[in-house]
Amino acid sequence: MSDGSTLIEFRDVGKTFRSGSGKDVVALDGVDLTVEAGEVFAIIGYSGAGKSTLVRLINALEPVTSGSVLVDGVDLTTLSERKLRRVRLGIGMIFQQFNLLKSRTVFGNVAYPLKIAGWDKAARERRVAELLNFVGISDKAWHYPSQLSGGQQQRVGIARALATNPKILLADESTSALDPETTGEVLRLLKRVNAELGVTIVVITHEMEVVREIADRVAVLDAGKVVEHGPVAEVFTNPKQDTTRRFVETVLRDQPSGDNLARIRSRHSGRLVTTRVGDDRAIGSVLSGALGKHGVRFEIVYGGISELGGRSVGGLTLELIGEEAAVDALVAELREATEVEELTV
Amino acid sequence: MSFDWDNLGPVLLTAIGQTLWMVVATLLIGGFLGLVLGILLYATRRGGILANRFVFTVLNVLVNIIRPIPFIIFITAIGPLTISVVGTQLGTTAATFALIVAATFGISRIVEQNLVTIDPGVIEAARAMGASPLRIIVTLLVPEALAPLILGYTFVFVAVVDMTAVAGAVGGGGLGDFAIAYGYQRFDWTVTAIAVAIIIVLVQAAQFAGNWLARKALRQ
Repeated sequence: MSDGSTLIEFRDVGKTFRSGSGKDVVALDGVDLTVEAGEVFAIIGYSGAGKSTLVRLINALEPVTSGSVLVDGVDLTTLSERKLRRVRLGIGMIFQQFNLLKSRTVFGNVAYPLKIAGWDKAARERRVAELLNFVGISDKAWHYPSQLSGGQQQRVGIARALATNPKILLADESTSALDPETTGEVLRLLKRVNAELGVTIVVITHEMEVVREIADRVAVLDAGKVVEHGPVAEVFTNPKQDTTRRFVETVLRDQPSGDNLARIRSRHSGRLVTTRVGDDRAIGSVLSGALGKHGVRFEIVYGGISELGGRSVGGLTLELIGEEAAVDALVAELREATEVEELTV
Repeated sequence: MSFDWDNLGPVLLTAIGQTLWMVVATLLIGGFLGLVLGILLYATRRGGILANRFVFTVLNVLVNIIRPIPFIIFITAIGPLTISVVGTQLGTTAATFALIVAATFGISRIVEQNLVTIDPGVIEAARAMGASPLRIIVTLLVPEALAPLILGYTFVFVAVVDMTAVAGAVGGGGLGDFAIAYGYQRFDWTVTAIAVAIIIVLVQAAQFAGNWLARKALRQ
């Protein structure tokens, strides 16, 4: 979906909050990132990593302390507050707690940004009807937010964020307050926003599921720094940083550790290796020759395969039973097909 | 002892008129000024949409100085200012001026406290949509806090009725003055009771109307 042109660019961005007691809190440090037009870009990190701050730099709700943020080629750090308000009209935002106006109906909420943008009444009414239809809550137009479920409220949030036809949609933990089923519905809606309307989406999350479900590329944020970034499948099939690895483990039981490993070891006395499995890794062919070619039997003791960024990825832990030299030979052959890690307890 | 309608009736009517006039003028003018001052207190505080340390500190200190002064002292202490604005420090208009000033500062705190209860996330959402601070104040802050504001103003109504009883101290008249001058000082309990009854009816009616309006505003 991305056409390869840069839409959002962070150049050596730093953000420091000055707290009341005079102590400075560094929220972001030396962030360099680019988001391409048309993609879904996820920023994942634990709470306190600086994700929410990072996303608020894109619509300049927070000013940077150092570096610059470019949106559509315009350096936001050079703009006056008045000009920034015009930029914000072209950037939608949705929130974890939806942040709808309680005193206005669904219709009133979605029409609110159109009023700010100066649309006349007839155009507002047409646009709101169109948006409510798109997000599938036309029947709730005259309800108040308190009469809606969380999922419905987020649909209103999305309709409101899209009202002025923005190029960019910022989603700040937009599914964190929802149950898994509703999360799926909202993520599918966001996918449609990206695919059908061509809106570039920046998603902030601490949930691997969200990244897996909708993101094209991902940046892992840890203590205010981008520790890894790239296409989702690439970053998560080959995690280089501990933070990234821990996120992968939340959706992929690819390698046993701790108690799991001890339990497996107590039942299996053979050599334990973890092999990476995926689309271009033909480990099945190697294993099918294990007994005939090497005289080595194997048992699958742990692991799983999942989908990330449109690719199958995972890990299988095998117990290899046979002569030591024969096992060595099999491991060597496996290494030609994929990455192999020996597990020792 | 019965009530002397022929002599006291017209005096009572005048007193009721004076009280109503003082209360309505104070609520309209002081209510508006208090709303503006309260919004300024809220908006200029740290992290507010118009955060300005200097303005906030000045307003905050000013409110803190004026608000705790007992009204019976305030209405006399403000005399020089009353003379320069109204031309005299005696009479209903002079008393109303003092009421408006005192109410403005009192109301500002009530407005500020009600605005603080608005979810900052909603304000952030409006900022993200490109709304200016003035638009946020008019189309978001006031409507979102409307129900508690109505209850706050109902509370103020009762407080202002209470304050008008002091107006007699500067010759402002009103029901309080009537009760003191014709009831208390003449040992006429009937007169006092009638003044009290009228005030109770007034306050009850206001409270009833305020609750009803707040419920309507809360329908969402």
